[in-house]
Parts: sequence; structure tokens; C-alpha cells
Amino acid sequence: MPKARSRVSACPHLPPTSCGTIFLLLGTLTWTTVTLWVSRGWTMGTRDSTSQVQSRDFDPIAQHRVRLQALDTQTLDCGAPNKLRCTRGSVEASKIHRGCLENSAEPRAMRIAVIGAGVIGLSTALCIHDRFHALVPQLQLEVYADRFTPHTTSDGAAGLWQPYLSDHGNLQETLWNKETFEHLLGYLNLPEAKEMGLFLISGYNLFKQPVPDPSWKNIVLGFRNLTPKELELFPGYSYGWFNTALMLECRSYLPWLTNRLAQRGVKFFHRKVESFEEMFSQGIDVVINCTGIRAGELQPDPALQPARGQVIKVLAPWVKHFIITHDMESGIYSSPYIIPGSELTVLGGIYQQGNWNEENSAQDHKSIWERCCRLLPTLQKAEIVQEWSGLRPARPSVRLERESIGHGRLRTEVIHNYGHGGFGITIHWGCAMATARLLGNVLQEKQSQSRLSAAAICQTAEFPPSWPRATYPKEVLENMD
Amino acid sequence: MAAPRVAVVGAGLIGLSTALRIAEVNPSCCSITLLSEQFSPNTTSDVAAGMLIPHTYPGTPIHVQKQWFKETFTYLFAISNSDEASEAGIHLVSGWQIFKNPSEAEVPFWSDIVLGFRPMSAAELQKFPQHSHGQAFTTLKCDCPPYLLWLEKRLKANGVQIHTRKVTDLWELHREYDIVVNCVGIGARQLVGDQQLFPIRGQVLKVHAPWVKNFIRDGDGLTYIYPGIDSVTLGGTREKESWCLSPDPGTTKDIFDRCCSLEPSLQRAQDIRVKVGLRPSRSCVRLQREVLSQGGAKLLVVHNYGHGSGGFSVHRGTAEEAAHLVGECIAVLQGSSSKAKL
Repeated sequence: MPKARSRVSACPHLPPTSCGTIFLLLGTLTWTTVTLWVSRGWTMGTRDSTSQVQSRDFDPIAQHRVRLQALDTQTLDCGAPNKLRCTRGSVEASKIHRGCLENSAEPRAMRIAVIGAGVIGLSTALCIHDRFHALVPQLQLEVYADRFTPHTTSDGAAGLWQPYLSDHGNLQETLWNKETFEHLLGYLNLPEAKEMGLFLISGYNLFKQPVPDPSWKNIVLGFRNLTPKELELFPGYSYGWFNTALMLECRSYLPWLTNRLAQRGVKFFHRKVESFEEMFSQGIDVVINCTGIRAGELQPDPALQPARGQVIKVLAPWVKHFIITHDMESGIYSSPYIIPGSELTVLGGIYQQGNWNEENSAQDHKSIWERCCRLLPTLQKAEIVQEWSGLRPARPSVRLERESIGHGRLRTEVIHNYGHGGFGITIHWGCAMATARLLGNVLQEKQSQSRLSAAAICQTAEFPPSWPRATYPKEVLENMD
Repeated sequence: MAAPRVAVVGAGLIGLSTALRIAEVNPSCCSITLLSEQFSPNTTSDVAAGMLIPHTYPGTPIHVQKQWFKETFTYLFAISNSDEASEAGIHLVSGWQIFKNPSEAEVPFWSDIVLGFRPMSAAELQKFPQHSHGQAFTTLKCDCPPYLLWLEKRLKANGVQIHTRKVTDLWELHREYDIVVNCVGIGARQLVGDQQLFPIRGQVLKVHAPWVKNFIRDGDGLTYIYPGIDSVTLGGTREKESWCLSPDPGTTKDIFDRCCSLEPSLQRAQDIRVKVGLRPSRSCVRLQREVLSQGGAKLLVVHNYGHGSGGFSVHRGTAEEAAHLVGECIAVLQGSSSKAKL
């Protein structure tokens, strides 16, 4: 497999003719390598979808012939008995064949880079692999991040599945939340739920006055209002909800996702990506941007702001319910909350917009401790084990969209999936699936592009005007929306 | 006359809670001593999960049982809400009672005492494909040993003396004590020869599975998962007239399998310990006074035993009644002593 992949887009600054010469030379090198392979008698054989793209046997001439035959045309060649040296004898003719091969899409790796290894990055990578690996065998998935578990924002979160109180009419986000909940429910009755850090938990949402029911009341289990007797437990609160929801602890979930990805041959790269261009210059075809709070470093986004949180993790195994209080004036998560995990109980209630400080604050510690102990006096006996601060990647809405970077043949694709605020775990799978759908569109378009350019280059009268849509198996085409 | 000397025999849940209630109700008018052969963690109470889900006694009017449960629930609710909750081992827990047979899913007499009692929704029932109906509620759990140790501490603070002593015959106490409160549980079969008392053997597993936050109880009473502070109790069995205190390995596997079918993640449970207890079962709790006499000597006895599988659910209520009976005994003693003066 040639390592040097010659593309016009890789050298935008050189004039075309020099470019052409370079590529002619590289192309010749390519051909030489290829014929050496062919001469060793390797055949195309059947595709083993679990093997790495680099190790696949590659017989471009045989593939080319098969493809032409599939067009149901006469067996076709440009008249050259030896494809290495086209009898048309010109640079253009060589380009034709090279173009035919390069743009017949299938043999070349399709490199997708996910940037970010928090809950969003890893779950999106897994969703993409699930959806496309068998159908697009040349898919090569890579994950790039400068922070991996347990050092991501996701790791600090308690892991409770619960959206904000109101979706502000953003039905798309409500749907993604629902898809996530239902996806996780499917794993609940498997023993590996424990490895995932997934379990059911019941608890209380408390208010100082009646409030409308939330958008997620029918997603969680057993949603109901609190009885007067229950409210006696929480002096100062006069209204509330009880429901059963899910916990998904990222300290377990991220390693679980990482293991699944690694088993499937997804490669991990521990480094900071400085720009999208850096990725494309290395031959990445599509970038999936799951960089969370630091997305602004890759592309400025004033809508993305930190919402700083701090939590105290204590040993309080007698606490079996989550308790989340709400102060409608001070805003979400600025009122005390208590969330019991599988080992530690998380105490919180800090939400500071615009604060980039990832250091723990003594003042916030005091505020959390006092307010939570007032809420649940028995916590005073709890041993403090850990303290953590993190920056929720807050945005008026999640940025989940495609963006084309560059123009013409230099055009490359970024799919953004960031800005999940304090509900990343809650919404992650719905967003992963939506991102995968967008990737499907991108893949389909790339395939169309390659058909068009192949058709443009391989122009002979024998070719039918329309190229059949058979380059990708039909299952892939049906899944692309 | 000198302050009446009261001995409470038995240091399980009933003995400790009864002694405490007597001390609270009769603060300075009697001296109280607790005598027991076994203490926590070796009592029957230590084996139980301590869930406040009442057992129905066929021989007691429902309104009485309801009253006992209500008093117990109210008492423990207040502790769970205080800063003593973790030391006392009292905590709220929510969960589900599920039924395969719709006819079993009637609303029980205690449904308005526990919190938030309601039928399970169809979505909730999807977790239990073999069960067609269920009830969801929030109740209290008393973890032992913590609760028993907390009771012992309260007793000492109330001036109650605690001694390790095996009592083979209540009469042996007649010289040292005026009133004896008999809280020996299953031991009453031997101690007072009560043939109506019989064991219902229960084997349970205590496992480390801290991600289990909700209880699950099969309405047949045989399979249950009760998450406690440091362990989850998996049960169980109800073997009538079995006196065997040794764990049975076949039963262990059977309990584990049944619980895993309700909560598959339990397959990852660690540190499995097996325990056996003999529920002191009777058609009704024996809560009554008795006078033992030989020659001219008398011993006033108050019985408080036979709580079967419902001890935790009613313990405060029966302790209240026993303390009341002790008060009557004290009155009798004071009455007869004043008669003697005449």
C-alpha cells in the first residue's frame, strides 16, 4: 500500500505544472510498487472486514477490470496492452489510468479522525464504527486527544442522566436525550452494565414553589410528584418530583468505550491537535470535532462558554437516592445536589458562567459542604475523599453540524459535536447517532464525487453516461439519510 | 419500697428496643439490666436485612399491626432524617415489589404508611419480564449491626446495665429481679416451653454490590434484594420447623441464581458471605404479662417474643406495648407493697 498518497489538494501553493510533474513521478513510483505486488501473485480475494486497511491485498488492475465489467459494457481498455505505459503515450493518458484507480474509491482508506476522548468523542467513535465498519471496510477510525480518562471533563461528573428542567423548545435535544436513555436501558439487564458503570437510581428534585413538569417526565421511570410526607424530609422545599433514572459513571464508561474501540482496531493518539488543517495535511478525510470546552482553540466560537462546576466526593454509602434542589432564580446546578455513585457520593451545586479556573476553590468547597449538610444532616459524618473542578462546555444549543473547510478539490469536512453543557452524559448517544448520520452523508457525497471525477477522467465512448450506484453495497446507501 | 429491678432477657432487636423504651417511659422509677447469652453480631436480628416491609400475623387484628408499624416507621423516619442516621444504620430505600400472579398484587394494609406507594408503570415492569404487576414505594432499612450497636449505646446512656449471661430458666432470676421482660425470640421454645413458637429458617447472602441502589422483592417473599450500607442482602428461604443453623451450599447457589435473574448485574457481586437465621414465628406476637410464683415468692414476667419475619417492622410498636405492660407490673408491685405496709 503506497504510503505517499499523492493528491492535488496536498500542495495548494505550487503551480499546477510542477504539481503535475511531482505527481507523475510519484505516480510512477506507485505503479512500480503495485506491479511488484501483482507480480507476487497476490489476489484481491474476499474482504475480511476485521483486517486493517493497510494490510489488505491490493490488485488495482484486476479491480479496474472487474469494475468495468460490472458496467455491463464490452471489456474495455484504452487500447494499451500494458496499462503501465499507455499507448496514448502522454502524461494525460497515464493520468487517466491513475485517475481511474485513485477515484474508484474502494481500495483507498477512508480516514476519520475523532478529536476528543471524553464521553462525546469516544461514544461518537463507537457509534461510527458500529454503523459503518462492516459496510465501509476501508474505514479507518482514529481518536486524537490530549486528555484521556480519568482526566477528561466527563470523568468529574457524577454521571446522573437528567436533562435541564426546560428544553426551551429544543425538541431535537429532547429526542437525543430520549434516545440516550433508551439505548442505556438496553444494557441494564446485562451483567456488563457493571463494567459500564451503569445502574438504576431513584431520587428527588426539590423546588420552593410549584413548577411545570419537565420535558423528560415520560422518559424516566415512575415520574410523580412528591407527597407531603416526603417533603417533610426536606424543610424549605414545598414541591418536588420523584423518579427513577440512570447513572452512567464515566470513570467506568470511558474505559469500557476505550476497550471496545481498541478491540475493533481503532487507533488512539495522545497529542493535542492544533488545527483542522493539521489533520487534513496528514491525510485525514473527515474530522469529527468532539473537543468540548476547548473547541474554541480549533475554531473560535463565542457561543461556547465555560460553566465551571466544583464537587466534593464523600464516603456516604447509606445515601441511596439522588437529591437535586433547584433555585429558579440562581439557575441550574447552582443549588445544592447530592448524587450517590457506586463508591462515592458527589456533593455539588456550583455553576459559574465564564469562569475558566480549573482549580478547586476553598470558598466553593465551604458553600457546597454547608448547603449539602443542611439538606442532609447525616452527611456531617461522611468522610471527604476527593475534590474536583471542571468546565461544563456550555452553549445555547449543542453544535452538531457539518462544515466544509476549503474549496473545490481541497474541500474537506468537519463534523462538529460539542457544547453539551451539563448534560453531556444525558444526551451523548443521541448526538453520536446524529453525528454518524452526518458522516453517512459525507461518505455518500465523497463517493459521488469520486464517481464524477472518475467519469470525467475515464471518458471514452464505451462508458455509459451514468455510472451505476454500485460502488458501495446497498446496505450502506440505505442507511445514509 | 426500693425501685423495682427490671431484667430484660435477650439482646436482639426486640430486647434492646424494649429495654430502651422501658428506660424512656419509666425514667427513674426502676433499674434496668439487660441479660443475654448472645449480642450483635451474633443475634438472629443481625442476619435479617432489616427492611420495613410488614409481615402479616394471622392472629393479630390488622389495626393493631398497622399501629405498631406506624409507630415504628415514624420513629425510624425521624432518626433517618437526623444527623444520627448513619451511626444508627437507618436509611431510606426505594424499590419494587413484583408479582407473577395478579391476584397477589393487592394493596397491603401498610401502603399509606410507607412513602409514595403506587402501582408500577408498564415501563418500570419492563425490567422484570417474568412479572406482570408490581408496586413501587420508598421505605426504611435498619442495617445491623449498626442499629443494634446504636441501641446498646443509647441503653448505656440511659443507665441500663448490660451483662452477658445465659438464662436457662426465668425463675432463676426471681431473687435478683422483680420484673423480667422475656425477649428471647426463638429461645422461648426452650426457655418457657412455648410449643406455638417454631422456627422458619432463612438463609441469606450478604454481598458487595454497591451499584445496587433499589430494593427488589418478589411478592412470593422468597426472592429479594435489599441494598444496605455496606452490603446487599440477597434472599432467601422460608423453611418451617428447620432448626439448622449451618449454611447450605445448594441453597446458596439457588438464592444467587434467583436474585441474578431479577438483577443480572449481581453476577459481578463480590465478597459473598452466607448467613442463616431462625425466624421466631408464631401466629401472633406473645405480648402479655404472666406471674410466676413458687412458695411465697413471685416473679412478674412480661413476654415480648414471636415476631417471626416482621420484627423490624413492628419492633418499636411492640416495645411500646411491652413498656406499658412493665408499667402495669410496677404499679402492681407498688400497690402490693403499699398494701403490705398497712
